[in-house]
Amino acid sequence: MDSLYELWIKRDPEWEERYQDSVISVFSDYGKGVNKYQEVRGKIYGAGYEVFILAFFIGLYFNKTRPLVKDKSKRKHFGWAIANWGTGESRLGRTQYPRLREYMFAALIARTDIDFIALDKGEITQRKVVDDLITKMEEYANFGFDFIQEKLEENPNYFFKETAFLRVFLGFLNKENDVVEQDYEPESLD
Amino acid sequence: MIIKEIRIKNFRSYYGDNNIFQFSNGLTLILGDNGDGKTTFFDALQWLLNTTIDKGNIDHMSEMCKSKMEVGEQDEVSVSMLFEHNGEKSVEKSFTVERISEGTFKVGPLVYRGYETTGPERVQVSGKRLIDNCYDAFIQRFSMFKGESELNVFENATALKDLVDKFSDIRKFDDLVEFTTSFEGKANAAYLKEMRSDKKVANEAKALESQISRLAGEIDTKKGDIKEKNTSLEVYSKRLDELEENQETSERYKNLQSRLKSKEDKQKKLKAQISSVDYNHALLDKMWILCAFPDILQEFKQKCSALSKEKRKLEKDDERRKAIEVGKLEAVKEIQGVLANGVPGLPWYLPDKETLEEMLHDHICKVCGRPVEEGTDAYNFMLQKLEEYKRHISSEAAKKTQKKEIEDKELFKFSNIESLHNLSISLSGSNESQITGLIGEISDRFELVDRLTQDLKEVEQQIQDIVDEKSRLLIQAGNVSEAVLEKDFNDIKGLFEQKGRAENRLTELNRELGELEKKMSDLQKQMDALNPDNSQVKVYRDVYRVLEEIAKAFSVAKKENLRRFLAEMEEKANSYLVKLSASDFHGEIRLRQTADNSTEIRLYSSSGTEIKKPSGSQLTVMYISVLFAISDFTQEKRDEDYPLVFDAATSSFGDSKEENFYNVIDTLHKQCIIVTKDFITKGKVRFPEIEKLTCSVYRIKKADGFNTRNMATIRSTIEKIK
Repeated sequence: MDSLYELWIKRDPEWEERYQDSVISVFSDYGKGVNKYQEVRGKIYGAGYEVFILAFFIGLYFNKTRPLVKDKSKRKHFGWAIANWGTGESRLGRTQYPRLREYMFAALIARTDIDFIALDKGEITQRKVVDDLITKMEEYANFGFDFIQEKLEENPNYFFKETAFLRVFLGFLNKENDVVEQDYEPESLD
Repeated sequence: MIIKEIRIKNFRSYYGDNNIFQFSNGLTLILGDNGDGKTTFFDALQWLLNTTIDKGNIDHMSEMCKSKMEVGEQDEVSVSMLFEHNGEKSVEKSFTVERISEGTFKVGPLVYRGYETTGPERVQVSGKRLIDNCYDAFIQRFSMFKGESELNVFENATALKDLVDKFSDIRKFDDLVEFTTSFEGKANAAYLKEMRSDKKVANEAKALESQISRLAGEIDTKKGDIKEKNTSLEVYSKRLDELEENQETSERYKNLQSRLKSKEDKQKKLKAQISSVDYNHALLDKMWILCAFPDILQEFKQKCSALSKEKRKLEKDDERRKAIEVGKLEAVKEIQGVLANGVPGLPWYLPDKETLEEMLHDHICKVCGRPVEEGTDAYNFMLQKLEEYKRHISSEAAKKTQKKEIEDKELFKFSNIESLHNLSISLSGSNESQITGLIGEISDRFELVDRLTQDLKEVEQQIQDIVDEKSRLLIQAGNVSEAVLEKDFNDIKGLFEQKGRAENRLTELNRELGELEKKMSDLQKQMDALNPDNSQVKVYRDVYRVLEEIAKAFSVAKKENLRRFLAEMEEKANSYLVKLSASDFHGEIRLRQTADNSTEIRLYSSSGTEIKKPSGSQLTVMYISVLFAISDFTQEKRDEDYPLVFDAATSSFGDSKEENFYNVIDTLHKQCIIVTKDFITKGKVRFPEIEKLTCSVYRIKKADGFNTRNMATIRSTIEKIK
């Protein structure tokens, strides 16, 4: 019998299509299009799921979720199961990070309301549980995408200082989630 | 020739017909700031004196004049000069310009006229001829200089040779040397002819003559080789001198280059170290994104541990319940049969099934040996005992099944909680400390980058310092390119070797020449020792001897004449050098003859060492001294004086040197016209200093009200201020 983790990494989470141009392809090679934030700059990340991971952690650390649109036609997925995340980046200077997924999984287990006793008793199915985990994951990331998009709308250069994303995550340390955003002001790039 | 007056009309910035300069026999200064028309004055004079120009040039016309001309109108550009040269003379060069349409002008033919006053008459002559006679291009070359850089006319080897040829008497000697040599040759030929025809010595003479002529050929070749070697040796020495001039610079340059390289390597390394961690990538690759994760990890661990605990508790409770049920089963004890007298019977398994059945079959109790008939109490007892035994066995089997059923019933079918708990355990320990240590890792990295950035700044500053030092070095070295410095460093060794080889070869050649010459003189002696019959031969010999001596004498005289000329010029130049330098260090000028018969000017210190790198002002004073010396010679040799015209020749002079310089020139009684921006500070003439001079001074400047962007508004004005 497969473990929950093994079932979970076979999934390919969904996200709202509207973030493809406004967030995902701003920072990654995903979609490869030209967009208003990205004319000449080199992309920070390779695969689209890398931006998804950032968005997920933002939602996670804020502990805020945001349900995806109901309309399935407005959602997309990378077509790239979690099992492949962090295992294929071949850009120069990058290293693989397959273990990060265990922590994402651990976070979902910690934060998703699931009756594991009932699961082990066989009263609910693994499939249902993994569905719940994926939904939570998508909702965290959905919040994160929204957060990034808002920042970009305020200042298109916001995340193009090298330390900007890192500062966002350092901002979650020992802070109440609400005050994080006012905690720092990234330097202007001009 | 003394220039009396120069008039400039519509020539570039000199607009109109009122631009007149008058000159005395001594020094005249023309002062002007940048753009005031100094160089235009000089150019106008050069234009006037250039006898090779045959066309007017619209670019020479004043822009202001052009802009004011209406279509159909015409005006004139002209420069004229009044001068004294065996009587008063003047020369004028001019052309007309007509405006044909808005943007087109028609340039008329160039008119170049001279006027001579002979007796009471004023006669018009060709301007070209007049200037070629009175102030030819050769003299101009040594008397008109634009900027300090043009003063080095003598760096061109042929210039001094030309000068020497022109002013020394060597030319005259050339003819004499040629004559006497040809006499010598003819006398020799006649003498040899006579020898050959003398019966007594004819054969010996013939043999000797052929030896002599062969030897003469060898000597010529040897001399040619020596000359060639000398020339190349000179080339090496000159190049080595140049290299030595740059040697110190070269070494410092090399040293700076290697320091620069090591600093640049360090800079590269630091930059690589600083950018070795991409913060965006590190979020994922180094899992820095987990820096805020420890709390969540705790949540996870607690949840797993609680689940595990709960599950285990539930399992334990279940176990207990099962045990109770099994216990209950176990507790259902067989009520043991009690015998008639109240004592307990044997256990149910004694006697066993086979014994009982055998006894019942045989109708006898095989324990007590009494018969047991069917239907008796004893028989019934045994039957009952057998039944009891059978019942017991089957009930035991049922209980076993029941117990197994209880025991087999699992509360939990799956082990997800266990695998989660395992994950939680695997994320503890060293993995957990890695996650909690991330924040330290990140701040360590920040600190390191701060430190590296600081180091980088320092290294970049050091690089800048080295680069600055290098540029200073290159500026000091003058017109030496980096490539040359680099090459020099490598060349010096090779050249020393080449020079050494050339010197050795030269010694060898000279030795060989000596031997040949000795042989030659032996042969000559042998020839002379021949005692011909005919006394006529002796007369021929004596004539030849005399002519030979005369030819030698002229050849020596030519050399001596040149030596004297140079010595004299050297002396004159040095006397000017002393005067012009005043209290400043000046050294000593030496005019040196080179192997190819040209002459070089060098500056030496009194200790006899050559000053390889004279400063700009030292060079200027040196050249001007030589120019004055030349001017003296022209005066002596041709009984004519020439003006010296300098445009901004003293730009390398400091204030005090400058003042001193003009004071000296002022007292030299030599016509000098110097166009300069000296004596002007921030657009104002320094009158107190001017007052000290006795010469006349003109001030030229742009007329007020010009538009900084429009050339047509610029006009030079002339004011005699002293």
